[in-house]
Amino acid sequence: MKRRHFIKTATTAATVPLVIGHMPAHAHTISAELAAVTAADQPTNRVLVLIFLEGGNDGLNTIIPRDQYTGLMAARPKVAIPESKVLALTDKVGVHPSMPGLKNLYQEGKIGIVQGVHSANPNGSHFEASNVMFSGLDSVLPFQTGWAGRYLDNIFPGYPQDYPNPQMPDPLAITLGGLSSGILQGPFVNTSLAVRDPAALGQLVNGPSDPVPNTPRGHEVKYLRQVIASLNAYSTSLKNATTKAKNLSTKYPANNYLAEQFKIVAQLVAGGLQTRIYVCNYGGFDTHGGQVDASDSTKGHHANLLQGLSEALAGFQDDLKLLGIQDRVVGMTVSEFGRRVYAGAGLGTDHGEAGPMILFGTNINPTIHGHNPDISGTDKEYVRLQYDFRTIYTSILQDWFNVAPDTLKQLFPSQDTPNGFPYLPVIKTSTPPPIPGIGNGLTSQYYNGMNFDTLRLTRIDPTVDFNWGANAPDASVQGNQFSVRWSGQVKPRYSGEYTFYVNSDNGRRLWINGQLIIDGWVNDWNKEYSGKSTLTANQLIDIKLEYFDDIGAASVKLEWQSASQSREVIPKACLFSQVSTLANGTYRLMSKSSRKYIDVYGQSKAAEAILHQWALTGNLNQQWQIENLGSNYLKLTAAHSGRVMDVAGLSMVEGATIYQWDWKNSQNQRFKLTDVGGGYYSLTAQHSGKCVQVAAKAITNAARIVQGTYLGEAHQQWQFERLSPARMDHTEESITLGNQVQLYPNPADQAVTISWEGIAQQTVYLSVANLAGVVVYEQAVYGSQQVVDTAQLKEGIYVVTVRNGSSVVTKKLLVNR
Amino acid sequence: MKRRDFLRKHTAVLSTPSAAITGSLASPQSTDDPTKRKGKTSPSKPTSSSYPPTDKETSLPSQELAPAFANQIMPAIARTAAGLEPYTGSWGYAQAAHLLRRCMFGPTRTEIETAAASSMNAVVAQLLTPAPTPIGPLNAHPNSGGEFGKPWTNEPFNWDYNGYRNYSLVTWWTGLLLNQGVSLTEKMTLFWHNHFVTSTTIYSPHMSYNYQRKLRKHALGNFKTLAEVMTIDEAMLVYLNGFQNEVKGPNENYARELLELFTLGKGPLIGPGNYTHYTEDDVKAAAKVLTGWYTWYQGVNPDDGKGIFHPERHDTSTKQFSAAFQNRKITNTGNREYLDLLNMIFAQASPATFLCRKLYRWFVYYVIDEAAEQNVIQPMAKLLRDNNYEVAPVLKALFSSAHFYDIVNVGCLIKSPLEHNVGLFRQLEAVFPPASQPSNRYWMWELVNWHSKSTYQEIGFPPVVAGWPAYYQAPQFNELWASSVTMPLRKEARRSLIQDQGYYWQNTSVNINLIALIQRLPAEVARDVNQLVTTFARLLISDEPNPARIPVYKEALLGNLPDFEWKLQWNDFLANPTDNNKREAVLGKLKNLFHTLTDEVEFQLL
Repeated sequence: MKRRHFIKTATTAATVPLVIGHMPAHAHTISAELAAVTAADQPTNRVLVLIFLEGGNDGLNTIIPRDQYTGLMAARPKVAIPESKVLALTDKVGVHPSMPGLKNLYQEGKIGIVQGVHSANPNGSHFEASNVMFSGLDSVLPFQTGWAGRYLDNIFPGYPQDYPNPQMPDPLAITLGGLSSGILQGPFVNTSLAVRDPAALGQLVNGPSDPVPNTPRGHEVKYLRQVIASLNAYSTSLKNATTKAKNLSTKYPANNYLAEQFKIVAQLVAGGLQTRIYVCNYGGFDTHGGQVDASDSTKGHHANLLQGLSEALAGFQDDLKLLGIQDRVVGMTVSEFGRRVYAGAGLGTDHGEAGPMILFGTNINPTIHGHNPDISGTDKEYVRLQYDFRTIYTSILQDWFNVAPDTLKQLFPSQDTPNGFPYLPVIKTSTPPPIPGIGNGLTSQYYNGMNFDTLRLTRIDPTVDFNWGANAPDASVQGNQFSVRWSGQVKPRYSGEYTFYVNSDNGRRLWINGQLIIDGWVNDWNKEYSGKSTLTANQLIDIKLEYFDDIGAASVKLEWQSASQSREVIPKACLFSQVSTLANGTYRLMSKSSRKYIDVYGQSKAAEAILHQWALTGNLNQQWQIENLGSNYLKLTAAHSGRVMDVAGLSMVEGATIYQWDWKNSQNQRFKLTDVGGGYYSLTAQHSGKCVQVAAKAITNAARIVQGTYLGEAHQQWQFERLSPARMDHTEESITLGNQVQLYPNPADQAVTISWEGIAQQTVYLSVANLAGVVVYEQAVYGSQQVVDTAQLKEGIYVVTVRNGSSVVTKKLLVNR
Repeated sequence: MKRRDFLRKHTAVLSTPSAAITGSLASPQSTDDPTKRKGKTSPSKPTSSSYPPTDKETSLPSQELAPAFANQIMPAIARTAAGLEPYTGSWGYAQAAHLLRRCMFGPTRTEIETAAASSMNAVVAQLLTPAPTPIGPLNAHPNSGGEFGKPWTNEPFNWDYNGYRNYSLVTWWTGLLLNQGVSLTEKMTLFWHNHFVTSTTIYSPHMSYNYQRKLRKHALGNFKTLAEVMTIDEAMLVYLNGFQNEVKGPNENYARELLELFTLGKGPLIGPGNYTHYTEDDVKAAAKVLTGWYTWYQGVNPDDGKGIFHPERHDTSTKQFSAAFQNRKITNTGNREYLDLLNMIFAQASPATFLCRKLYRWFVYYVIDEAAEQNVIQPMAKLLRDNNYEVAPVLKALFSSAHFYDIVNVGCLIKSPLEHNVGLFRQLEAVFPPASQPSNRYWMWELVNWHSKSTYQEIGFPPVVAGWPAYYQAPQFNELWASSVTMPLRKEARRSLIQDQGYYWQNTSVNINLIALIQRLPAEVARDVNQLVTTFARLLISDEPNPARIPVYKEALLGNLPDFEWKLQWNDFLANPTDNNKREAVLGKLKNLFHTLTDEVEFQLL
């Protein structure tokens, strides 16, 4: 492995102040690409909480098999819970009497239970069993990676280099406590930030970033610098989160170590952190002796632990509900093993095998998976496995974080189960799909003066959730007597009536779909305004919010709620800035009327070669590198020739030819992009105001492309098919091509070989793009491999796209020297 | 390993040690597929090893070697082929500092300079000399019972005093670290505490004191003897439920940890319930051997804190062990039976290699590559066996070896909290309240303990039976000590100590005196800014400070003033020692210097 410019994180943090709720001005130049590459846009608002019950929880006294009492009393007469004391969940399953809170949650549909969870290779060692559970791998000597760490590394490649960034401004994961959890150990670094008191995270001096020697000492110096850099980079975002939300529940138990951790999680989630995974630790479950009181088996050490768990969970769920984030959080307990069926003389139990897993949250499937152990039969000594840990891990990743089955197979390589683990619906099947699309926020215009007097700043705000206090929203805007207009579109997840809430200091009014639904253009504060509107799922609706601040404190928050979802700040993913735009990259332009593509005649590279439409060939003369020149004026460069789309001779005439020409940055080479809805755009030449259209509305090959007055017809509308980086949903690779595409070496230094065995004998289109979407290499290749020179490329992550017909594979390439 | 290739590696590769993956030290094991072993076959053939040839346990599975670094983004690092052969290079400040840093908690400047002026053999011999046995922990609090200022260890057990006595015990223990001499005793006592773990959570201060006393007594003694002592130690019997292990309801807790954590070590799972060196059934059989031991009820057994054997609680059946123990049987020998068990265990090869790897991680580095395994661990293990488990010869060899002094092994261990905090107080030569003020003295020692506790190392209180995770949890090991939580807390401990020149609590204090620290230097060093800065950089940071950082340290001391300005100010102060303004001027500059020096990340390394 070569040296990496690792400490870059530190310098990034030093030069780009991280402001939660705002994006640095340059941010969106890369965000869409990064999102596409990393699938980081996928449900960023979802959170998974893992609770490690350290020591091996006695499942038989936690989730109690009510139909096994004969066996239970025979095996553990002094330790078993008396049958009459068990809190029944169903006719067959009950819980320990110290857990009424858990029972209530179950009855509210917020608890799921999986019986008999363990590893297929039981290990009686706490430490090996923990490692197996952490890793989600068959064999873990020595332990190297945790399953959640691998998942996060896959989603956020290259971490921590260039993190935090606008796409992921927060820690990927947080371990509550001082030592990062093994569950979050990624293949390259631990993906979590250890947090004990987020409000009190300090800053440390960043040391020098000079090279270190290639020795263990150098290694540790770099590690320590990284710890400091991460701390410095994230301390502000964590502190800010703690100021944005406070715990609201009064149901948290006092003096409860787990509850204290839950409080922090709730606060950070509600405070807007995009952190996906939290790991809490709750120890003391190694109950070899003194598990129960001699006089009363419902009392004692284990009862106290379970009571603590139950009360903490009840408080946490209540808090999540009051904070309006309960639908965003699910969690589960894990423990390295269950305990032995029979008890020892010391009122305790030795190490066992399988045990139950408790899942919680409003989106958990509120059911009991699996059957009770058969204590008189197969489970006489050990509770046997019904579900491998990995069945639950993979099912949660699939349903909650939308990870594709193929990716799951990669994240959980297994000799025993090479084809993936069985699926278990631990998440509600009615759980809404992830937020569609990649919202970017609303366009905001900041004015001096309370009535939009002088425009000072235009930008995109990811959400409307500001508390400026006595400060100005930006250095360019005055601190008092200013006004803001947010506009764009909103895309709801569900159909139905929505209530919009605006809390602001001072005046506000809100239009949805052109209707004024909140009209409070008055100088007041501490007063909530709301209005209702009926929306259709996944349909873009216009939204406009106006606001003014008079003097003193300034704040504004825009939220929504419907029968299908709890109240929340309208998330970035559902907001679309006023002008939809295209990211720079390579596209094909398909006519809405003919379904054919703009094509340079005869693959000519010459100037003045005309454009016509043609059926898809896959050739480069149908591919256009698009650069947004600002204000949605595009430069379109033919990929095969390097010449640009141009209205011949600066003609103003209806029907004038469009051809390719050298780039002169003249107005007849600049085309205004307009979103006409439905995924189509029009292109209007700047000099003439006329649009790009198919001549005579033809639908046949070879019909010319000309300019004409825009009338909103189909032959004037174009779909932009993104080629590089390829449009990706949540899979890194298409199923069709699977693993057939290989890059080596990777990381590459001077060159990389890209091979696609198995799909040879066809033309394949290769492209390499950087994370900003700029295509640095593009080639159609006939054969089974291609060597690409990387010597001139800057170090960093690139996206290699291999396209064969409709199959697309993307791979990440690291250039590193 | 190629950076993005890991997802395409199957499990076998994911769990293969770094040495094999990174290639430069690749052995035949690198192609070995550990998962193929599962269930049926015995471990694969080991790396060819010339040493020791007699021993089936040279076939240590590659899994037990070092895992990859946790942090794969770091550059691959050089390791050394130097082994346990004697170090023959030069002896000076750098070597002495390295040796004492690893063997003590924060050697002082004088200790290092004295050692540097001596010889390696003499210093190693000094380190291997056991420290005198201290008087026990005192009644340092009005509520701990008995005569104030006198040890409580011979006072009767009393529930009411347990809390204060436990506090007294761990505070006293911290005091032992602070007041250590040039000896391995304290570092090895803590090593054994992290190995044969018990915790003050057993809530019997007498038992915990006796346990500590035994660790300390055997710190430089015999591994097997200590295992025998610990097996029937009362604190251990409570901590791992041995006292609840009886024929009518065995408790496997101690038996399992004895095999897994104290002697044989974990091997790969090569069959259901088969951990290579022992099996689940062996755990059960060992538990039966150990039935019958109980504690002196409250207080301690006056006979050295040993457990009491109750024959009626003992399982008298014949205990059958697996092929890992050559199918040995242990028949009933009552209260001697645990010795039969330990004899059987220590007749195996793995306790020696297991312990030597732990010693290596404790004293050298946490990555054990193939070369270190072959050239250092295996020879150490042979020495240990050849010396009937006496550890001193092994430590002597290690601390006199070419491997130990190889440059790649210097300055690369992240300090534990105790090393950081005790070392800080010792290297800044803090002055604690005198022995005549036990209450004040204990309060101030407790402060040091408190800083360590808040950063996850509380002496007397390891978090789990395996000890502190930094010593066992792959792949991060020592790096676990340094996190976004602990680094600011370490900083805070240093900041207040240096800024306030000590800690103050009610009517007492622990003091550091930076001016006195400088005054103890030769006068020509104290007044020369370059020598002054270099001297403390060498003490606190590295034997060879980075030349590029020297100007930074000078700037911390002097701002942008020219070098001679320090000499002027220092001499001016020396000429007017009672002038408070001059004193404060000098002191302020020194505080800046020590803040800067101890804030260097290299200060975290030893």
